[in-house]
Amino acid sequence: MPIIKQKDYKTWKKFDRKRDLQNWLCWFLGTLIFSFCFGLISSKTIWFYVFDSHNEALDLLGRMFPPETNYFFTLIKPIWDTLNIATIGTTIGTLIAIPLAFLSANNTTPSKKFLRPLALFCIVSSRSINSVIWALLLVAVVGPGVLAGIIAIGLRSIGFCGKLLYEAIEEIDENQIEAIEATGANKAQIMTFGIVPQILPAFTSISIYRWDINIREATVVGLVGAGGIGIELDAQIGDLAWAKVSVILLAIVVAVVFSEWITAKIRRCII
Amino acid sequence: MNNKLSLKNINVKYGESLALKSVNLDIYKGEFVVLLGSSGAGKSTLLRTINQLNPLTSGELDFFDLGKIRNKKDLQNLRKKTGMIFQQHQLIERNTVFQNVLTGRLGFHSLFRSILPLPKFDQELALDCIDRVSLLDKALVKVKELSGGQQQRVGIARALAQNPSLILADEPIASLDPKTSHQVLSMLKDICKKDNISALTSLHQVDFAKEYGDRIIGLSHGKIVFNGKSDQLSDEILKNIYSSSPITEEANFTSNEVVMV
Repeated sequence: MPIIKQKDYKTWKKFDRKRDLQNWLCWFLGTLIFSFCFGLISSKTIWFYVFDSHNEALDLLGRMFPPETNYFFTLIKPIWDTLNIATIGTTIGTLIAIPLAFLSANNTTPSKKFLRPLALFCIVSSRSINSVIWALLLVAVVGPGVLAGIIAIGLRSIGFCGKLLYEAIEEIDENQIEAIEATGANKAQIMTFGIVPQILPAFTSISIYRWDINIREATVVGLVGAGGIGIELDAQIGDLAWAKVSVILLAIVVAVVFSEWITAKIRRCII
Repeated sequence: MNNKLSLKNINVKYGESLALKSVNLDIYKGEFVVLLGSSGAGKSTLLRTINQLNPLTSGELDFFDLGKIRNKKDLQNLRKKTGMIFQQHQLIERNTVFQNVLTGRLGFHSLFRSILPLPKFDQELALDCIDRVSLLDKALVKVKELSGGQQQRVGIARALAQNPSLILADEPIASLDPKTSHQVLSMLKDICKKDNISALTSLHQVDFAKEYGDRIIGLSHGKIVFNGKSDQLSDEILKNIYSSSPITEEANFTSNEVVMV
């Protein structure tokens, strides 16, 4: 912090001259890049449409209203499918995630050199690919329908649950483990009676949270043909049947609120 | 019949420094032995070397009926017959008292057997142990909801459930108030005497050690400097036990002058 001596008093500045100059230069360059990018984007945007967008939106809302309420009853089956995709997918995903998490956690992995990187790779690759992309691939492999959706949701859930679970395993209290080791328990018993009770709360909250997310994701995978309400949505948007689209959107909101309510209940019971 | 635990010429190294230096010690059946020494003298290391939570660098263990401990199988058997009580109790806090005490029975069953509810015999034994530490009314309460003294009593019950020949207690009363300390220690000693269990307990309070110990071991810098009855423990010897603890020797702080500009 430089102190400047004037004739009869001292004062100070936050930075010295060099630092001041650097700051100024950074801001200058930043502004320059921003204006350049703004110009580039602007020149490739058709501003006529942007300024007209509120009219378009109002027009769309007008067509959506009033919703075709009768149509709701034909949606019950697809919504049921969507819930099933989410539930079965989450179950499969978490079941596969459990052994992967034990293999990936530093303190439980049987081999740090080989199995741990392998398990981590599975987790990372599952996490890095969105469930819609998984669904796209799977529709091509197993054909369109609920099965593709279930597998897509399951594959995406493996990474999510696996990562959070192995972090929970790494954070356990080693002292409690040591006490069980001291009673003469073998390795497998230490795992079941020392580690499992400690990660059980984390495990339940992780899987409930993932189920909650999967309800939303399951509505989307249908857009690429992997079953559930998304298929219906895709079809009605294709037909420009906006009065039906609005019913579907409402149904999705209802399903999500419902799942939110259920997860809150379960969480309160368990934790 | 071998009626004692013998430690012969035990050495334990942490990296380069010796934590235990040629320790020789016999503990007889039913004897309540107290271990004294300043922090860092090697009390915990000695206790944890007996059930080999810390590996020993060299030396020999001769454990009651088991004889010499040579391999993993022997060690597993030794641990089965050795209950351990920790300063921070180290119970599974989320589980109930009953579940925690039952973990003392794990060593007697295979994994597959222990996943199912354990046999009636083990369950009744566990309940009996809980009763002996007067916590039967709390048997189905989660451990984290108990007080410190109660938690330590659960620790005793868990050790007891193993039907041990030996109980190792690592500063079991260090985080308890004096009154609760007396309760816990006298409970531990009564039980050990009744069941003819040997005990090795490390303590920080000399008066507690004199009151409860059949015999007192003084440890300093990883060496046994005293081994005798409590009335032999003179001020001179105490001075020797607690003289120049390794921590104060190593502590060499220089206070940096902080200059404000």
